[in-house]
Amino acid sequence: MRLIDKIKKIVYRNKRTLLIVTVVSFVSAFIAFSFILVPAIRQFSLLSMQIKQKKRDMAKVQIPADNYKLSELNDKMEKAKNDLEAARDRLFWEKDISRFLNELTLLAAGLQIEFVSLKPETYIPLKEKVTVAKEAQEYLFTQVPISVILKGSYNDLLQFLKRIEDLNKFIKIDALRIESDRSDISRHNIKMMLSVFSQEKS
Amino acid sequence: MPKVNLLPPELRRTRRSVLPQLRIQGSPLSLIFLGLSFLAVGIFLDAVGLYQKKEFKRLNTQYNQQYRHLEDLAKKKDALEQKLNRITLELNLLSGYLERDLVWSDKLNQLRNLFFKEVWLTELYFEKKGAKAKETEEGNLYLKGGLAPQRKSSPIGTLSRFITQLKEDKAFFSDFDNLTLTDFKTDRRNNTEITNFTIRMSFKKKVNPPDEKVKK
Repeated sequence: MRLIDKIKKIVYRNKRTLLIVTVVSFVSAFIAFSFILVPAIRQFSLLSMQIKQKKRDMAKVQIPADNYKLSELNDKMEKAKNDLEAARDRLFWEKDISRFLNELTLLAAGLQIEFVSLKPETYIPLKEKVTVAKEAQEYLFTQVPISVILKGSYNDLLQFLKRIEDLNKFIKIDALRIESDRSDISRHNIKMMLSVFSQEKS
Repeated sequence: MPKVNLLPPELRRTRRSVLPQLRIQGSPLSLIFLGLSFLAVGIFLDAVGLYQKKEFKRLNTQYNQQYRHLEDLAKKKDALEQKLNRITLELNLLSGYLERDLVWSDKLNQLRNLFFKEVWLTELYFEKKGAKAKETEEGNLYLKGGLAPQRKSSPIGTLSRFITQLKEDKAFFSDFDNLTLTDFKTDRRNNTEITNFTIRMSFKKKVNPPDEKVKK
């Protein structure tokens, strides 16, 4: 009877130990699963997803082979700048018209043209507005009209006009009047209204 | 309840507690093994995670760099396009001023070639309606002249021929759209009949292109 009790005791002790070991193992396994494996899997899948997404995004931010045609745009820009510079150079004179008057007399050189009078008229202010991307820029010009009276033959006048029109600086012919000179039919009285432009500011 | 074996000892099947013990111990062992495997897999995944984090960081840096580069390029492109637009508009503006509506040296040269010997010019002038340079050139060219007396044809016939010649010369008349004889009178001077005339020619109205100054 004592033996049986002893055995019982041993079995009971073993079972308890086993139960404790089992519980501890289960708890350990649960902890390992919940606090190590699951977060690791979660992190792994999240990172995998993020990497995939990033790779997809990378494809979207590929720099185009033509670099947005920047070099082409730059070339266009260079050309436009040069054209603009040339246009400005051709159109605008200094506000002081002495250079214009000097140029005019040079244009008449070698022609039988006699200047009777050169008279600057009232300046005409001109305002232009250019708007790009809602940003407006104003251009202020001044038109400087000059009334010119001269005498010369029809041929010389034609040559003089041609020189004016071919000049690298722009002179606008606003009005022209040719009258025969009754005292000398080979010569005409010519009245012209010429205009030049100057830029106030840009 | 404890089991009691009542069989004689030779018939008793000795059942050592090894088997039941093993059976009982199997579950904690497998649990330990399972826990260890969880741990191992977790550690492995963490290690992979570290690599992934590195890879992600690398990709992210590359992405940011590329994005910034692309953004810079796009900004540069936008700025260039905007600048180009502005320059083009300014150029168009200046070109409008620089444009000659009429090349007077050519026009007067053409006119000279259209005169007959019986017709002479006493006055030529043109008037523009628009005072401002950019306004559409609207105006008239006036030709005042005289006709020498002729035996074979009447002054009105000569003038009519002259007018027809002016109108039919495409190069000359291309800039005009109307020709009117505004004055025609005959005077007698020193027993000579002189006919004076005035012709008005209207400049063609220029059709301005739609305003393109506002660009986005």
